[in-house]
Parts: sequence; structure tokens; C-alpha cells
Amino acid sequence: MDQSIKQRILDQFPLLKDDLSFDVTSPATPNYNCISWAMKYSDRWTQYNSDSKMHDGIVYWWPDGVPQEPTIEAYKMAFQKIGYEGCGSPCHEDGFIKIALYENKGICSHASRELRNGLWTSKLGQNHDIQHSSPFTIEGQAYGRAVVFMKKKFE
Amino acid sequence: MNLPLLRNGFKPLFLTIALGAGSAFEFAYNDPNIESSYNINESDPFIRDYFNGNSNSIFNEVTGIINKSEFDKLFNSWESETMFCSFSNQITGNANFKKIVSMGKYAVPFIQEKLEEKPSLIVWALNEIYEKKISNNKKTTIEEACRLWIKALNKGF
Repeated sequence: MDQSIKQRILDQFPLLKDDLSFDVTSPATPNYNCISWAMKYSDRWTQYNSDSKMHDGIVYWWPDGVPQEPTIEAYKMAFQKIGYEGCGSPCHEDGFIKIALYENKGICSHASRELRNGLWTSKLGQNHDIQHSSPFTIEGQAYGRAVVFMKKKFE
Repeated sequence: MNLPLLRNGFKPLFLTIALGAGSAFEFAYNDPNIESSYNINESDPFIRDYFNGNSNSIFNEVTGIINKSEFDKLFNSWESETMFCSFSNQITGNANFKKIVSMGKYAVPFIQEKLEEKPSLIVWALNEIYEKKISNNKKTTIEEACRLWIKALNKGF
């Protein structure tokens, strides 16, 4: 792994410097975003329909009845529609997969997902997947704070 | 110029070569000014600034002049400002991206060059410039879309 890539990520997410589980786990690809990755997709860019322009490679997936807006409440409702329910903490629970939603400047800025081994994974924009020990170690200027935690039984 | 003829009727060889080279030099030196059909309109402030090296603008609708290094500057700023963004509107709403789109088709060769280096979301600038998608297949990934755009542009899309 190119160390400059790690360094660029560390510059943006300084809390990862003390995260012993931090690692870059995939090559950079624009094929999917963090929401897709939290939903376990790696072949599409998933989001609410933000504008009338249609861009290649985007699936404007959004469940019926959920407001077409980037608010944390709208994203929470979207994840509820695919079987997630709210939970109080990101702590590992056997038999469950958890996700965290981040809020920055009033909008939902990111989603991360818990792995079976209790570590967490995030897709960083059009770049790499990373592994981190908890949803809190990528908090900061880029994504703001993890404010909602949800869980779903492993399928 | 009349050269003195030698008795056998030939001009001295060294003089012929020297004068020939001089004329060729004079011709080559003058040629761009005589033949050029491009007139620099110095009353156009954009052109004046561009040729004086003071231009902040990279695109002029009249001349279509785009400076490659300025394009790269916009591209690099866009890439670093949006590299961790999760939503298309954050990426396409970035001011640098909008400037690239505003260049229209003049920016296409530079965008193509970037896509040939590696797949990138700058492909969305092509969607906006041409006001169309390259594929309506929902299964087309962004990397595939980049490849399809390169193919189409090489065929003179």
C-alpha cells in the first residue's frame, strides 16, 4: 500500500492515528459510495435523488415514503425500510450487524458498517475502503459526528 | 542582387550558399507574420491579459483558449476538495467542477486524458457537458461508464 495514501487519509481523519486497527482495505474506486458500502453493495452509487441531472453509474435508490433530502432523519428512515432498527450504541452484539450515520452541518455526511469481527468499515468517497476500530475514529471535520446507530440481524 | 559572373558564367559558390541561406532565414523569420491568419485583437482584455501572462481566466468563449495547466489546477482542487464526499451533489456542486463544466466541449480532451489515467467521477462533467448519459443500463458502473466515454470520444462522439 502506498504510504502517501494512508497519510492523506490520516491528514483528513486525525483520530485514526491512534487507531491500531486502521488499514486501507481496497483499491480506490469510484464505483460505489459509503451508503452503498453500508448496504453491502459495491457496484453502484446510492443516494437520494439530489437533482434532476442524471449521472452515469448512480442508482437513485430511495425507499417510498422517505423524504428526498439529505437529513439524518431521512437516512434513518431509509435504513429502517431495509430492516434496520435504532439502537443506543455501536457496541458489538452477537448475531447483529450495525451501522452508524454521521451528521455534519445539518446533513447526513457518511455511513459506516460493523464487520462480523467487531471492527468497522467505511468507503471514503470515490476512494478507498478502510477498516477502523470504532465508528468514532473517523469523526472530525470531514464527516462530523456519528449520531445514529442502527442494527439488523445477520442474514 | 546581381552577382559578378566569373568568366565561365557561374556565380562564386560560397556567395550563392551564403545568400541562399540568408534568404531562407529571412523567409522563415517573416513567414508567421505574413501567413498567419490569426489576428491578435489586443483590444480584447482577455486576449491582452492572456498573452501578457496576467490571465486568471482559462476559458474565453470567443477564442476558446484553455490553458492546460490551469485545467489541471482546477481538476486537482476539485479532486482534493471532494475526495471524501459521499453524495453526487457535493461533488458536482463544487466550484471547480462547475468551472470545468462551463468550459463545455473545450474541456473534453483534458477530461478524456484524466479518464485514460484512471476512472474518475470527473466523468460526470461529460454527462453535464453533453447533457446525456453514456449508458441507460442501470447495471453500468462508473468505471464502465468511463471506458464507454473514452471509446465514444475516440470514435469522434
